[in-house]
Amino acid sequence: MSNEPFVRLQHVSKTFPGVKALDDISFDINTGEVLGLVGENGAGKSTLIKILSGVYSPDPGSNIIINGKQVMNITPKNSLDMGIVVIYQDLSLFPNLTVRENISLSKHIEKNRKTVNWKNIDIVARNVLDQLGVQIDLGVKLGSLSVAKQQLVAIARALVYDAKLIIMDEPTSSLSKGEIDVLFKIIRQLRNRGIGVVFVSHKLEELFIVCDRITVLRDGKHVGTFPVSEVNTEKLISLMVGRSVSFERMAGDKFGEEILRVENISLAGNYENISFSLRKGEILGITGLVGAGRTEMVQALFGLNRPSSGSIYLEGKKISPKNPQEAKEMGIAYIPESRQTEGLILRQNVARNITLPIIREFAKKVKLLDFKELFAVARTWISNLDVRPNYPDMLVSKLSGGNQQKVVLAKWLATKPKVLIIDEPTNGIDVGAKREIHQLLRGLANEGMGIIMVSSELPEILAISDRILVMRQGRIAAEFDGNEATQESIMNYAVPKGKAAGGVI
Amino acid sequence: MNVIKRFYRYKESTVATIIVLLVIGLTILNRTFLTFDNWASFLKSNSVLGIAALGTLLVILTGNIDISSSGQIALVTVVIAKFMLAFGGNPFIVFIVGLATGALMGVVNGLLVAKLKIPSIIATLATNTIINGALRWYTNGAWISGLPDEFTRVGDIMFFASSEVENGTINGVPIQILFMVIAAVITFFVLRYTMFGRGIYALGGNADSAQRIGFNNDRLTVMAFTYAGLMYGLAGVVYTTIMKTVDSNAFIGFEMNVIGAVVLGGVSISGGSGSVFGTMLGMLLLSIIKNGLVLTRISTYWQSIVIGIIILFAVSLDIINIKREEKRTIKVDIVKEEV
Repeated sequence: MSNEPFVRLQHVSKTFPGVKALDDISFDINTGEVLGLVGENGAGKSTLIKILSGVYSPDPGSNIIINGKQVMNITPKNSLDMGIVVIYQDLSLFPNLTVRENISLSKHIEKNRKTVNWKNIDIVARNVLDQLGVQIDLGVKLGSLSVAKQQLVAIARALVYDAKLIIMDEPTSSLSKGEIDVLFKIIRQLRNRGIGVVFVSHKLEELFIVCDRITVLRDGKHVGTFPVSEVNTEKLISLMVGRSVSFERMAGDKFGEEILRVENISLAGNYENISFSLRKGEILGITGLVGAGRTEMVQALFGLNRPSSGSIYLEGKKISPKNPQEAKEMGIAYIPESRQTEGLILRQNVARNITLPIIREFAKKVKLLDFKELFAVARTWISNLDVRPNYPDMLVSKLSGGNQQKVVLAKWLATKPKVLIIDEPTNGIDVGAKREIHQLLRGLANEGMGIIMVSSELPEILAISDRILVMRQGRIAAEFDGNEATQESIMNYAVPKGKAAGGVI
Repeated sequence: MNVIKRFYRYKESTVATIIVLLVIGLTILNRTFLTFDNWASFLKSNSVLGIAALGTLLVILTGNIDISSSGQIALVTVVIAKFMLAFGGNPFIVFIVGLATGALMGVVNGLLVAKLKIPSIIATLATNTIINGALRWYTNGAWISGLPDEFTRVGDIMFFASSEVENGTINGVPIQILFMVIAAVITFFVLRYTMFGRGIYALGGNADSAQRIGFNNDRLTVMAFTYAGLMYGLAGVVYTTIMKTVDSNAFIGFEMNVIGAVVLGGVSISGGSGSVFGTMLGMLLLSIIKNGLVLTRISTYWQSIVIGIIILFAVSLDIINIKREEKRTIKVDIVKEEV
């Protein structure tokens, strides 16, 4: 192995309108090393991958040297030509084609062939699978294979490209323990052949098993790159958290009686044995890594899925909402994470959006809508929540993210809920507007509403939660008092502790 | 047992089974069904359907839909009829003109879908409506007849004919069936042995991935629609060899038969899966049903009702299968990193 790094990043930045996704990143990826890449959601991992694969171009002034040559302009094509292959989480394979085609077709394209040489397709596929020492029936449709095998096919395809560096985005997220073992064996084998691997994973323990070095990103900045022998899980967590953004804490003080109680609800594969309670006037923060089952769990309260066991009590009465309509009538409101696609009708105006859940109230004489009253109600909410600009007939799509979120809030507040569930309330909103949403939520709680807030942003969780539940792999891993939790203590429980293959080295 | 299981792994097996059962049933009901004459006759008239279905097959494989086959075929028949009345009926030239007209329409559809990103159902609905309107205006709905002998003679050519011609019976294989077989063989080779063909499957299976590994999705889409147009062109010429006159209204509603044949043959309407063999079986099934209804003296009004119900049935099966497969594959949510 040569000492020259395969990829050298120097002062790489990437700015999106309003956000600096990568901020002056400099580090090396050595030839034939396995480099772990970690960071919280939004730390800049994906942006970095997309720059290396040519999907995004970095800001001017960034300098990327690949294989000793400075590369001015990375395109998806020349990134592949230089041997950088990304295996995305969705694997980018073709379920309707056979394994041999999935592996070899790209080689045909690369050579600009017009016709298919099936013999060649077969030989190329057989060769790489042999190299990997994997046995997969080349003639079966890819879609009939397990995810683990599909992943091996994706790796095989990368080898067909003559990969020098394979970037794997969360490769173990849907694999069993045995399958992870096989994957790690393959990764070591690639390393021995001088092929580098960038391994992106939330499961920190895994990194120690398979990586040579680990790079930590935080808020788009390079915190450091460490040989695995110099760090441990606790150290990594402390490096990952401590984001620069933080909010002044707004705790509640007067809580009323219990309004919602959840006992042991489970839904296989999504969440298990979840129990908690919520009081009037309280904000319960629920956090955890993406995929920990938070959203699925709160959706059960709103009738979007039905737990297979356990019970839910609203004001002491047992409920089991079958659909959102029922949940709404019981006094539960749910504001989803993707407000643009699930929470709003973008092509309608503010007034129509706000009044949508209570539209029946305006259907007076012979079921025709009373628009005068509808607009009057909408105006009240617009001024209550300070939606700007304050025109009820403005198209929602023209509003800023923060104001769109206020419209979603208004829409559900109009149903006068007893319990408000809000998923990632400030996703994609600028910092000032985030603060406004926090204040609104705190205000609602003070008026006696029970609020469940799901959020990945620890500063936000710490700022307004009275109590905090940390979910991990579908279960509640810990509960904290909002006044006592810290980013480190939360992350310690959020990160999966599954002892992966071979134990920690 | 194992053999049967393996047999039914193929989507085409179901339709093949239904065909065999129908053939047995219809033969019992009416002995004339399973005769060479009957088959040669109904396959001849359904060759237009078969050829058009081969075209629509490629479009459906890309994950799009083409409901303009009827308009395109009608246009081709009118264009070649007028062409022949003006310039004579050299069959070779007429074929070229027919194919070119179809291909041109296909390019237009393809560009509307690939470049302007108009959903294919809307784009082809619009072109179909425009073509039909223009044809009615141009022909005033009148039939075009008096086509040159030089051309119409082609339609009577038989292959493998024995020398003794019996009264009123078809003798040998009509040329139209041969055209359909050749079109099927060519389409099979295009799909199986060209990168264009494999690209169509890739595009229909996973468009983003196709793009990522270097296929030009837009070009594939345009080419698929163009190939479809070529087939409609051939179908239009073949139709004219059968009827020897042209009625621009003859094809209204025909596109549903074409799409029906394709989906009956096990081609997935969501794209990426299906074969030439299946499409031909779908054509065969539709033809047998139509012929069977005639032979068993069931009113022809029932034809479209029966065909509609069968298509509904076939598509529902397809959707149920897709749902089942979706459940089996693990859902990988692609979490967009916040920027």
